[in-house]
Amino acid sequence: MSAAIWMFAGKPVEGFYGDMVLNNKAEQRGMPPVIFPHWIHRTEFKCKVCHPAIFEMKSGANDIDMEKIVFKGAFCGKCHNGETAWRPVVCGRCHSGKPGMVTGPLHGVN
Amino acid sequence: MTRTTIGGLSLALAAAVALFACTKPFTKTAASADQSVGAAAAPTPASAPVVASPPLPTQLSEDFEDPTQIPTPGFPFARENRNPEAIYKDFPRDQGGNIDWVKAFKENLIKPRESLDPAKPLVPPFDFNIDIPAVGAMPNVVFPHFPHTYWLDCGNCHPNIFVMKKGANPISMVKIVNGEFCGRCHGRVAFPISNCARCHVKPKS
Repeated sequence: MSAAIWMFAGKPVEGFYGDMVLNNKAEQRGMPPVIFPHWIHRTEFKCKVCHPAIFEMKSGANDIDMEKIVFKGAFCGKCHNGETAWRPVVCGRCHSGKPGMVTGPLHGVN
Repeated sequence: MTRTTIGGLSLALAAAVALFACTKPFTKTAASADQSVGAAAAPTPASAPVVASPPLPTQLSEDFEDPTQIPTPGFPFARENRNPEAIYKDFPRDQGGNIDWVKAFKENLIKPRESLDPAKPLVPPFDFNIDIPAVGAMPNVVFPHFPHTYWLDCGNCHPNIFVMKKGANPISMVKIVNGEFCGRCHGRVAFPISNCARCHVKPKS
């Protein structure tokens, strides 16, 4: 168990190329920024599943907030609703960024 | 008695090795692996007096998934192991060290879904190459529609990013770096533009 905690909590966040930081509102509202792992989604879905119908392909252009995700089933909530994918119950699973991260790609050109 | 201890020890070792394999980057040496096995296995008795904190309200929810545990497989979109490093480990890489997603789907390593609606019919990719002349001595670009239409719909790029007319798009590398044309995806999410030879493939005759 301790090993498992060390493995996830103690590891420095580096992320992968393609990860997106979502920090338009998170830090203003007292939460760490969201790191969206693009590629783990890419193993299961083609780009066209989400773009451009659910998310516009421009960082910062999507007005995402938790109310829309949880209660209206928009954006992430389209899948993360407990039926298709896990429900957003554990905040730290997405709100895993470091303070001060800027909205946009984590690696690569912003 | 001895058999059970040996069995328990080997189990613990196997678990430690598995954990280590999940967490560490791919460039690890055997020596460091041995070291970490020792380190991971040794402090197990010492970690016993850890006091369990009371569960958070969210942890009492019936669909709570412990983030310290790898999620279990389930219908329909979960995979056995969601650890990215474990998933990406065997994926083919290009010269730049980035995952070659086109090779990954051509080799059937991934079978990404087309739509959230399983009844929606598959749209076959559109095989059509376009030659784009390059400036100076750079080899010309061959734009393959096939991998792009595998991932995307026509509407993702046309007509907002690229006008559907040959020569009507004033593409340049500066604009791409600034996030126009190819740079809307490449350099941000799709493979980076540092690898010139992946697009500039057709030498000028």
